[in-house]
Amino acid sequence: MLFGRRKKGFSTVAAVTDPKSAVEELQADEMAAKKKPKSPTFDIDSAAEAARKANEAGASVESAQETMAAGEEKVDLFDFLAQQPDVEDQFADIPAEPEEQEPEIQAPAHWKLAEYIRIRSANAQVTGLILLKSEVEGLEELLEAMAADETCKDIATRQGAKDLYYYSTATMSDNYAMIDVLIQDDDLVSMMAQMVRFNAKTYPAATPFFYFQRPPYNRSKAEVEQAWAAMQTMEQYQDIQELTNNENTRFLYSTQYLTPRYAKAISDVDLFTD
Amino acid sequence: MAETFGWAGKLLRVDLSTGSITTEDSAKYQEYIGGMGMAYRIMYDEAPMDLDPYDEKALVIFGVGPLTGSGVPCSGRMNITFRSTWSKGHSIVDAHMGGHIGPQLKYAGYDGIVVTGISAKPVYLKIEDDKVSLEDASAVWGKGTFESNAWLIEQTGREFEAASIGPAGENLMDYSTLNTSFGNAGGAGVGAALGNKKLKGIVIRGTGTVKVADPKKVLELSSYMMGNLIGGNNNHNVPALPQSWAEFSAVSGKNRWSGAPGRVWGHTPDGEEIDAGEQPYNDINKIAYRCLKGVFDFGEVASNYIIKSGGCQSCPIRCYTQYEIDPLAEYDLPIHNSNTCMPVLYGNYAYPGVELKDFKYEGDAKMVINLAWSHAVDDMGLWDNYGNINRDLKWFLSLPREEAVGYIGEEEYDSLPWDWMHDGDPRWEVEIIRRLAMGEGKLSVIAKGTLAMMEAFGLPKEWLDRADGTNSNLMYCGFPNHHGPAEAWQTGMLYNMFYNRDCMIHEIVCETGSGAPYEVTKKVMEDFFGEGCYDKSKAYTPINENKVKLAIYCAADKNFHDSSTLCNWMWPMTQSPSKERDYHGDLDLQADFMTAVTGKTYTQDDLQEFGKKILHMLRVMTAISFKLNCDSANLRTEHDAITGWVFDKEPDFKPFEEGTTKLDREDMKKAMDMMYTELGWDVETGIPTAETLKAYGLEDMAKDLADRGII
Repeated sequence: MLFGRRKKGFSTVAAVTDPKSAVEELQADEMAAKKKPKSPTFDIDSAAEAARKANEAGASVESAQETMAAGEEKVDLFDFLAQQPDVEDQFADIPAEPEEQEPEIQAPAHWKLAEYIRIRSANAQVTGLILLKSEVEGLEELLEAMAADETCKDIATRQGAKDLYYYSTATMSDNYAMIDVLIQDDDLVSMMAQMVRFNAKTYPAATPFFYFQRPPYNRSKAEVEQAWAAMQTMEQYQDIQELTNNENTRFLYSTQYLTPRYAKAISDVDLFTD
Repeated sequence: MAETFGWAGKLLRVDLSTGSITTEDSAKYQEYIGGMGMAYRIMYDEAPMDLDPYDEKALVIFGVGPLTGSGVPCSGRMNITFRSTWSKGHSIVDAHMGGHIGPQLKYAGYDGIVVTGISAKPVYLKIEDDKVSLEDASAVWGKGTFESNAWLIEQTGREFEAASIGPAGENLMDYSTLNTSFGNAGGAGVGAALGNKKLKGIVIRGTGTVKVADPKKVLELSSYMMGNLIGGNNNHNVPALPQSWAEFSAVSGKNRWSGAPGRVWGHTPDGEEIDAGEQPYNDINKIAYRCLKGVFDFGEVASNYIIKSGGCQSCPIRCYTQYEIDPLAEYDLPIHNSNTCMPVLYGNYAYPGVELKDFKYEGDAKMVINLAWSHAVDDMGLWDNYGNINRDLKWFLSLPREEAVGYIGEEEYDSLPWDWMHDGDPRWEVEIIRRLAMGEGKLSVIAKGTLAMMEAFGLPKEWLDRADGTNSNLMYCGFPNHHGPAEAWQTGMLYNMFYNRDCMIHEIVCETGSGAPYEVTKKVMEDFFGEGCYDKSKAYTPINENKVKLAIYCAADKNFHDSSTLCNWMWPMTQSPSKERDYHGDLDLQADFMTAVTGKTYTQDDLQEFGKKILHMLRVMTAISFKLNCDSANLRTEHDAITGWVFDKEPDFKPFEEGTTKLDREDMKKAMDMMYTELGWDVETGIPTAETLKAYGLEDMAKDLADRGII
């Protein structure tokens, strides 16, 4: 299944939009974003909007299928309009000029691949090379073309333990890609250790046990406890330590980056600081 | 009246003694911006500190600034200025409230209401554009605010916005509020100030508009703010849980950008859960899902009770979570609730030593108890003084019986329904609140203020020095810490010293509480405010010039917000959620909005000067009050003296050691010296010098202080 899981709370993706129009929309929105006053930023909304439109396109097909399956009769709008008597348009004093048709451009095939990765990124999913190999013919050529294409420079990679993952920096942050790759690696002990170290170094902060029970990790309390028990037996994780704060909440931290005393202090909840 | 932009142009004056209602041109107060600044000038000119706060001539001044009602985001605020009856010195003080009533006042055509006099009978003030009248409110005198507001709307119409005082205000309980029915409340004792005047409530309907000088610019700035700068509540700039577009999130899972995939409005009328989902920072259509305040306050269990997120006029950050707490029906208590911040946080303090039992869902005990508290205090119009009422109550309720009866007597002590407390029954807190609001029994002195309670119970000044978790008073003035040293090192201690109530300054906690990495936020702050201004959490450094300047900046900025009138939880736009902006906000935006709305040119430096001018005015009136009521105008020793626990808590730590927020005495003396010097205040007394006041055009105040022998 090309589009994988759907996460609760994320926009759903049911089909790939036409790659040419999607990319043109992305670029148009990007230009609009650049024209925004004082805004030096790439407008992430453009990619989300493209994903939304793709989603809507897919949803409408599903919706029509559901309607047909239910056996409900629905009058086609054009049929309905065709049955209506002609009425003179009083306001049509200037005949509309026929729209100039742009010549159809054949989109390069690697754009479709890039758009697929973008849409998955917008849906909070990195895209594994193994998955692509199983779904896409001529993948190596497409990946080469994508890497050489300036319009695809938002497509980045991150190496996981078992696979190489692609994501779009236009819709997914590097740190989130790191998290999702760790999730895809499906090695809870390693993931917990890496995130505990990352949080201790970056914020700095100790990591509550419940951190891994919440989205996007969604691991059970038992799984987290089991992983922590295993971690304690492994030499490479001896910098990971446990503390309990003043509200009996349990945390993990890395002694590479935090002293036990400071880790406890910044994990304690101070009253009246809400 | 000349055409004016931003400002409505008129001031409403109401004399409750005579029934006189007049208007005047408000243009002369534009140099004080409006709201707080305007009210301070009026208060000084017309109701000097020599008056008793309950004197017939005492004023209550409602002020709404030029930005409210103009379309500027996060501007649905109103400032109310009056005299404190409960904090040391009985000086000038402000209440602040959000909702929709402030903008309605602007739409009705007024920048403020100056209320004087005392009515012979309970009345309410009805404002419908230029039709203004005082109406009989005898029918709801003695009633709670919810019933009163409903009655006011029945009398006037659904298009009106209503706010009323409760029994606490009527009974002149100093901890009292003015409330809407949606949790918007002005505190600081405004309920008693209005209750003394027999003014039960206000209803306003405005059908006009606020004229804006450059509406296209306002729209352009608003779009820029929505797409690039605004974060969650308190402008927290990273989400509480990881979101795919965001590099960072709050590791604790707790900040005020609480909306996240899987977190829901779970108690919607149609039973369909609404998932907050992801909210990419520049997806302006999802901003309102960011602040799932109930989850911030109570954790994931809150979702079971959340109907939706509500909030103030012109604000996309919906920080008033609306709940249906159906377990309370079992106790014949109201089940609907809408509130934010303090009223919902510490109701459980009324149950010291009791392990509260869950009501319906695992982990909902504290939430249900706290929301029962929230509804009851709002109904009674009882103010919490930023948790002092909860802390003082907890202290008392924790006392052994033999000690407690020494304060309130055996008969009253035994009349309390203690079984309800031990059972974790929400009716316990409701009964306590009722007694406090009605002034019933000796225990109710808690609602007269911490200082009044200490006097009644014979507690020494040192009672405020203790570090036992039920004391948050930074000074000896009767009001507590508000985002002070625990979040903002010496800077927070300094800015807590300026006011006659808790300071209500959020300029720093918006950053320290955001959940972003320290180094990211430090860069933002140092780029704006200079090297060394921003300490790491619980790893403080000695005072320096930039920390002092930051403290003054915070107070001046807050003063501008309460004058213009903007929400200080959201403004200024210091941070941004945008990685492309390196998470830097735009401090100039509020000045740009002032220019676009009023047609006058403002810079951020101008706004700082306005804010400092208000600070000097506040200090002058505080000095006069202390001279009159405390027999000393040395504010450094009488007003700004710091309580012992600030320096003596956490005995295992030394100041500036990693792991503590305790301050150092000598360092703070130096900090105060530096701050007074920076402000142009006398270092020995902490009072503005004549030269400083003259530099800000306050010659009359300089002369007044000299005539009184204060400078």
